[in-house]
Amino acid sequence: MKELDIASKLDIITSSLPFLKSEIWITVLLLMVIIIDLLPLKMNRRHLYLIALLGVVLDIFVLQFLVEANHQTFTSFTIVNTEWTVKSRILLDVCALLFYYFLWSNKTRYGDNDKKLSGESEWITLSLGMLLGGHTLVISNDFIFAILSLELISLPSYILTAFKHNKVSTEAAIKYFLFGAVSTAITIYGVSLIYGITSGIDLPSLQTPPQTHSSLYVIGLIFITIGFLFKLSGFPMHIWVPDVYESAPIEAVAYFSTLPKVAAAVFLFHFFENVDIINNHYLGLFILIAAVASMFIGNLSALYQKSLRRLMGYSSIAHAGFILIACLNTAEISANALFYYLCTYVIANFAFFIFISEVEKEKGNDLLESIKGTGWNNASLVWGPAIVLVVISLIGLPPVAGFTAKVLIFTSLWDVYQINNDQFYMLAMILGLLNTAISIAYYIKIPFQIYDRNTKAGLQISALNKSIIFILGLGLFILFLVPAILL
Amino acid sequence: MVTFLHYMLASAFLFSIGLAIALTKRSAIVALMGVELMLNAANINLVAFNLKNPALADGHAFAIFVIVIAAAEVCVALALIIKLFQYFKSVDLHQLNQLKEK
Repeated sequence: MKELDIASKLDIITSSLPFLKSEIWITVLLLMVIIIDLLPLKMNRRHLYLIALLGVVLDIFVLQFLVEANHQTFTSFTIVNTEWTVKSRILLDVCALLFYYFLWSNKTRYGDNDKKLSGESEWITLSLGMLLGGHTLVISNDFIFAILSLELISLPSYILTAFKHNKVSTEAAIKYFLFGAVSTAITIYGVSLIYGITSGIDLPSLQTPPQTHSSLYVIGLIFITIGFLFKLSGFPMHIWVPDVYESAPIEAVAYFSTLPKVAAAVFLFHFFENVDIINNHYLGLFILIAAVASMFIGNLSALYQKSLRRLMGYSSIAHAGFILIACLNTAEISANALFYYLCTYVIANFAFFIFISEVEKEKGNDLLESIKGTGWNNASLVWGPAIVLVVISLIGLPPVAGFTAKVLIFTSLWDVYQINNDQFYMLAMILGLLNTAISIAYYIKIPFQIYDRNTKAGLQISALNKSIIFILGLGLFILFLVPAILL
Repeated sequence: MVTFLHYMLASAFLFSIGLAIALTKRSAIVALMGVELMLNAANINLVAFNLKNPALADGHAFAIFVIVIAAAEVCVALALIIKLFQYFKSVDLHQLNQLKEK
């Protein structure tokens, strides 16, 4: 490694290009959408969502059949191309797929002269940019690459937050931006410290640090995780979540409660794998504290929420805690646990946000009271049980996939405890289980309100949204029965 | 003789100033300046540590990318601040109080 000069390094970088087929296709799709939007065609601009949706489906096929995973990671490559990253990229594509379906089915029902409708190609280009950033963050094996992709996810999401064009969403966007900019700056500073210690800009050079326990090294590593904790909405960087979730457009909220989290979690897992977090006591402790604190903050604040959006915001902070716990163990089993957890989280979150958007459209607000008694008419036979399954999956109880995911995560944490016999891991496990119990108290309000015995109210959900909620709820049940689909 | 320690002290100083500005200043634009200082502190570190292994020029490459990131961030931030000014008629961060717990 040390004998490399710039020319041979550039050679290595160009030789890793053939593994980037799916990213190249996303870039082409992005340019295609811009060009089609500029053409003077007399088409309905909403069809652009369909084009993006088909493009993402094609990208899943590219990843499934054309991208070959290599079984050993090349140490000097700027990308990692293992089966694990291919799987995670497919999950990111599924996020984007659900997002475009959501946009398409929602915007079809607005009138043509609705002002908010304008900007289809902006929605698509910004979200495809986020998708591209997620893809590159997942495969990055190099801090330059990782930070550029982190910014590629962040910058479009600041803009998408302000897309509602009103006072509150602009305020949320500015808050989101300031937090994001500060946390990215902290991450970059941490990378510069680590670069000084290991004199390598790539992740594998972290495996052989000069002195593992120097305080500068630990501080650098903690600084690096800050920016990714921001994307995960984990403990020290969680303050933006409720505001943004409350005021951004609902489709965008559904998108950036899932895609950045998946990408950041997969990168953090890869990062911890290289740092060897199991033997790095201080970093492990920091991540444990962040995980437990985000669970407590999320769950305890969610208890008092009256609005569904804020409730989901706090619940996503709590879920970030569980995701962080899954990142702690670097064994193969934990990679599967993390992937399974992220899958169930993405499915449940999208189903629930589609439901919230319908509630908002019908009732004009997203308060818990406004869904009171909506589950008793015939139209709700399709979506009602599906929403109940989604909520149970978010709690983590059988018979849905959320239960299996939580079991897998706590198993992997137990394995770490067996390896290093550190009491803090045991404590974190007990507190995590306690938090699962706390979360029942607020999640259960939702089915309780839907099936309230004393009130009968109607809630019209469009056929497109109803069917996708049903499919997602059923998917969670099937994943519980046959977890082998994902593992 | 200027050693790595001097560079690191200078950059840590700059980073702290930037963080303090970003966290305490009322004006959105000044807070943005604080973020820029933090990014440039990282740049000093990167360019200085490049002396350890000059043939690879990793640090220089990274510093250039950080400058690009800073430029892109300012672009988005100024666009958002213009929108903010349209709605609030000021860029004072303390006046942003529409969103709070109900």
